[in-house]
Amino acid sequence: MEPVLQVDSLSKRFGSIVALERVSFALEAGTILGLIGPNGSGKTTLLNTLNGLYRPDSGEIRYLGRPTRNLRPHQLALLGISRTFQNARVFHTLTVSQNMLVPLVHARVHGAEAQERARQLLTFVGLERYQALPASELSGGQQKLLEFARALMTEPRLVLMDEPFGGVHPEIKALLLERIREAQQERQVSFIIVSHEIPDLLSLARTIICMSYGRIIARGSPQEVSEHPDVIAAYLGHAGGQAQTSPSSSVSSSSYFEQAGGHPS
Amino acid sequence: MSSVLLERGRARTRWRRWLYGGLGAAAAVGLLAVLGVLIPLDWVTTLSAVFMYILLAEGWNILGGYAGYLNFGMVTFFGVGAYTAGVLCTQYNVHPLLTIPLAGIMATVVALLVGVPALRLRGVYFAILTLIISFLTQVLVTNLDITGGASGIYMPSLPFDPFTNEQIFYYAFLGLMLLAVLLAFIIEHSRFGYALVAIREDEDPAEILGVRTTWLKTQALLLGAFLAGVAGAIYAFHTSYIEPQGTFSLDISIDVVLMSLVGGLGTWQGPVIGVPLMLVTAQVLRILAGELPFFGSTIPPEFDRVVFGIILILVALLAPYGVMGLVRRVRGRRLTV
Ligand SMILES: Nc1ncnc2c1ncn2[C@@H]1O[C@H](COP(=O)(O)OP(=O)(O)OP(=O)(O)O)[C@@H](O)[C@H]1O
Ligand SMILES: [Mg+2]
Repeated sequence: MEPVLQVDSLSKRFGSIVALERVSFALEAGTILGLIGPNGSGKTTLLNTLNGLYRPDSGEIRYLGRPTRNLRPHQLALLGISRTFQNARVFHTLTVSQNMLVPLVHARVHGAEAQERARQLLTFVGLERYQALPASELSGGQQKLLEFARALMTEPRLVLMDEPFGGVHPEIKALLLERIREAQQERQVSFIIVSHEIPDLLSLARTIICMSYGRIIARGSPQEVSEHPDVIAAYLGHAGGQAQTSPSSSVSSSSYFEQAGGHPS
Repeated sequence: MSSVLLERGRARTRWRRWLYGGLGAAAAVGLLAVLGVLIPLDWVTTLSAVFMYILLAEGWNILGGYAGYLNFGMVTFFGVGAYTAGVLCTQYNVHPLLTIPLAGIMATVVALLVGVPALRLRGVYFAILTLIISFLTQVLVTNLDITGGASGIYMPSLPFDPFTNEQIFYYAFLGLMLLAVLLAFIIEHSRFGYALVAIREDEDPAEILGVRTTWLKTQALLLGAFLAGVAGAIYAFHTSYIEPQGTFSLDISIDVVLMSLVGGLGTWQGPVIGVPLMLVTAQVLRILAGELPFFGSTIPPEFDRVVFGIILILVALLAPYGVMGLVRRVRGRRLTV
């Protein structure tokens, strides 16, 4: 079967910074790929390149067998690539349900049908009670849920999620994990999920890729990646799969990465 | 069970709100329609100006208010509309009524020509470019033969007595203003409108989520330009004489922005509140100032600018989201940036 996404030797520089260096991977339909790596390792840049916001310096991306080089972000969205952001980017003065309708602005979907789809997806993520509220009044975690529901409005084939669990309460995190799995299994949606914490991805991702300084330094099952010596080195020996189960090491590694300061996405 | 009841109750309040809103709107329209034959001539003229500016401000608001693109070029489309009517009517003998839609179309074509490149710029750059375009069109019109250069164009006048004349323009501007308000209302409650607001709030995610941002902004600009072009054409017949300095005056662009801002950006009610608030306040203060000894019989034309400036400062201090922002806060909705 043809992969949803085929990435070949993708490179992207910002001045002297190499954000992506010959990144290659493939994503099978209906599977979840986990993407980890320290701050500034190029995870967000990879997502931005995949949905057409950045143009790669070299390399090729094929989505459903088709090169995406000349496609704009909105065209890729139309073809079925959707997205959430590292810091939730909801439209603050729009209500929750208006946020949901934005992706359908050009769709030939009747108004009532679009609203019904929005309502169903909001119920799916447990936000149906907040429909009429301005999105600014949602909590940070709820905004992440809204982003996820909004990303599903166009019935995408591939959803790129940048740190969906960052700063999210365990309860909402559990809901999000469950809904991602449901979307994958029942709607055959493929995902690329960026996360700092390998444990979050254990139950979801079949394959994990670890990036460092723009390069893929390890790939494989969650178990393989978390035990990979380069990965452990990249995470300063703190964030290996086993090590992270101890609370103290998990705190120290994440606080290090907070200070290390990537770029504000 | 309880949620069903809740939903039903909510549907009923929504329904009631629409009913009261509709009745209120009908009453207001009826009142304005009657006023045209009841009030004295100078107030008919003042209200005509109010309607015209609401028309312009609603047009400006589509791109400027909803999508957040600060456009100082409204006067370009207004002027192009006025001159299209003038040139077609005086030099090509086109029937005046026919020149009005043609003026709208011409303004739209100009908007397409300047808008497509301009809308690739964001923020301050877009605002400055619209200013530059306004100056350039003014210079162009001043120096072209077909527009009569600096000496302008004398428009044919209507064959009625002055009072009937004023009333005709009163109703023309009233009708068009109502259409513009209706258009804004529809946009505000449509996916098109939501997407425009999404562009204002965060343009990149909007595009990534599937919004053809450049095309949507262009559509917003074109709609506004059409309204401004039509307004310009009627203005031309109303003043009976157009020349580049007045018709392409940057004051018009700036006033439209100020009035929308004072009423509340990105709401259909904003211009409806902001325009009369500023124009009527200026008019009343002008009458009062005439009583003061030091003005004598002539109040300088800068008087309005000073009044507008003071209103703007008051609004910035007391109601940063315009009058509509206050109304929403009273209704209990919180607005955040
Ligand atoms: N638009 C940009 N302009 C300049 N440099 C950029 C830009 N986007 C990313 N970079 C640089 O590319 C590198 C990779 O950044 P990226 O945001 O992809 O990292 P990340 O893996 O997502 O990090 P984090 O975990 O902190 O989110 C960083 O050094 C960053 O400074
Ligand atoms: Mg990132």
